[in-house]
Amino acid sequence: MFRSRSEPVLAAVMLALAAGPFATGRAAAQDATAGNTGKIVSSQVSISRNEARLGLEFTDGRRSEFAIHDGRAWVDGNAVGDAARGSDLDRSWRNLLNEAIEADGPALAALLIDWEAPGGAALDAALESAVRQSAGRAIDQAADAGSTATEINVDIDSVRRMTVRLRELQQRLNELESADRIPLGIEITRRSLADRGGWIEHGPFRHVFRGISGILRWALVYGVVFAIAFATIYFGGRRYIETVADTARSATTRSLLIGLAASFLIIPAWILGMLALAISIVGIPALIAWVPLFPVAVGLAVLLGYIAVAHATGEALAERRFYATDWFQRGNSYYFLMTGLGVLVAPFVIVNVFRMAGPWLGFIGGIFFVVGAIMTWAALSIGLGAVLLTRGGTRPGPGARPVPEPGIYAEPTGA
Amino acid sequence: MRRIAGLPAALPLVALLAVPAARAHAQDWRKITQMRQATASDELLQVALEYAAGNLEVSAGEADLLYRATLRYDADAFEPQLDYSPGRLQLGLSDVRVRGRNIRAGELDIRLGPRVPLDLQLEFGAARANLDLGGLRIRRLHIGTGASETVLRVSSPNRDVCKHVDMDVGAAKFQAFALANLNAERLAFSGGVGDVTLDFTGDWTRNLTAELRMGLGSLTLRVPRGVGVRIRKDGLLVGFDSEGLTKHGNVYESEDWDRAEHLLTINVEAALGSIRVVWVDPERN
Repeated sequence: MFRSRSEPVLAAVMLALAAGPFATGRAAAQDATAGNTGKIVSSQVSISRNEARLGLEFTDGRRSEFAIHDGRAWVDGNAVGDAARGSDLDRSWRNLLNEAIEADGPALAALLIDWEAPGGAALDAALESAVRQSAGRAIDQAADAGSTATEINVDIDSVRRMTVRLRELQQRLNELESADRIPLGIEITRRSLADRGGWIEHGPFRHVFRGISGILRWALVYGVVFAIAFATIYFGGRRYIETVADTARSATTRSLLIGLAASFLIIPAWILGMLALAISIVGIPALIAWVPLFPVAVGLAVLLGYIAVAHATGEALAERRFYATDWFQRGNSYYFLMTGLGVLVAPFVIVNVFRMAGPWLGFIGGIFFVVGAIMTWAALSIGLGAVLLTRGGTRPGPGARPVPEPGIYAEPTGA
Repeated sequence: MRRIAGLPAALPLVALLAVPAARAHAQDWRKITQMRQATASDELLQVALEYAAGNLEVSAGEADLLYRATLRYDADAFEPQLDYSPGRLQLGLSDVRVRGRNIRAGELDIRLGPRVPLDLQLEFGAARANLDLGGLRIRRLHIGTGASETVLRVSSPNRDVCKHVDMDVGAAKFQAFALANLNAERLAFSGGVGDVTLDFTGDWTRNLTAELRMGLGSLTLRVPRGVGVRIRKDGLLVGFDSEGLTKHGNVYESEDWDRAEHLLTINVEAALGSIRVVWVDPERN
């Protein structure tokens, strides 16, 4: 277990140090041998893949910590032997801690004293001595573990004070090194949640607030796009939007492919255009207009295409929903835009609704985000393609079939 | 829209990679238990809980216990808090790195000792909470929830007088049973959106006034027969099922209001939704 012959002695000293706080003289030792147990007022058990840790606090305020991590057993921060992950000692220690979780003070003390450590006598002895509050007992048990600690003549009391002081200094150093966290076996945040940035950011309702703010953002996007579309239609652009929308519906695949090709060729075309204009003397004046206006034109084409696809989506939806009279009342471009835009934006709104539930439904929100993004990408590509096919809505797209009049004009069946 | 337009090329790749990456990640589960025995010097314990997400259980513990908190959590995503100083226990779990992760719920189980008077402030977000406060000594109680599913029971009478009960519920399903066992004189409830049930059964030792504010949703009030009930309702577009109550203006009263030994006064403000009163026989509590 120990790496060198000196380690048993060292372990014994450490055990004595660990037990030091409990050494109050010969009377205490006699009590311990008589089987008295110290009262545990508080315990903390921490178990993870990498460590298994037990902290004890006794009625008089003294504390001890026992742990296995990094392949070693530790008592109050001092290594007392090897304890590889998965070894008998490690497994036994974890079993003990799992039982300790449910035990209260007296039962916990009995449990810890009764524990027999396979191949970890030093840890066992230190634990038992701490619980028994007997330094003499600790040294005896360390001797049982193969140490020669009984021959060590040290001033336990002064060593104890020194150890306590060293521990305080170490803790102070740790605090200075890490302003936010105090390593006490678990990561304990020093500041409360509220101190770190307000109730909205860290309070229990933060997901609700984030979700609502996300919904409001998308409502704003919806409002802006709808306002642009509304203005376009109101000021005479209805014909262009409807032409592009009809092409997007009747030649969807072709529009998509052309839109895809265009999205890849836009930047090369812009650069090639600049080069072509730059190398021709007559083109240099046009270059001044080409550089800023080309991106603007592309942006307008994309926006027109997106609005047209939203229009087409709304129209397709309306055909499925409306009866005859409804169509006359609500079958207009504004309504189509309103519903079509709603469909395109809806997945992003849903993402934020799920966000309100916190991280639990994040995966579902992620699915809706991907769906929304794909829909948006498709709408932009199809729209751009349809704009190019119709030359900005000024002529019917090549091969475009007239969109059949919706069946809603037929008399209701009365079903 | 410009932001989204930049996504197309990356999205399919992201979609393909996201799920396997999340699955491949090994979560670092940790379990922490902290227990403290009650001592003679413990006069009051303030419990401040802030729990971001997961399953939450609160109940009474053994007689000598001050508290026992068992926390199981994913250390890669959450940060625990378990701080005790004399008279104050601060505990919880904050989500610090959950974005973009497939998070599994953690658990927090709190047992509170029945000997020491308690001031409970329980705040939790996306949690499934099961709270049984029966048999404790509660002097103050605050419950705040986000998008949660909460069941509160007071399975046996409070051993102290609860001076203040305050519940603030967000978008949630919230059910509270045997509220009379809280031994409180006043109760304030504020609900956002959701389905709320408030059950006023239990051992009645004093009159209770409940101030209820509901945003959007349904509110079910379970009241025991034999207790005089008066409900004052304010609000728009609120359906009110007033079975067993007599209307006097804006106030609804039970027939035994003038002669009942104990009185329950409920003032409801609601915006949109429904209020239903369900009468419960005392023996079926």
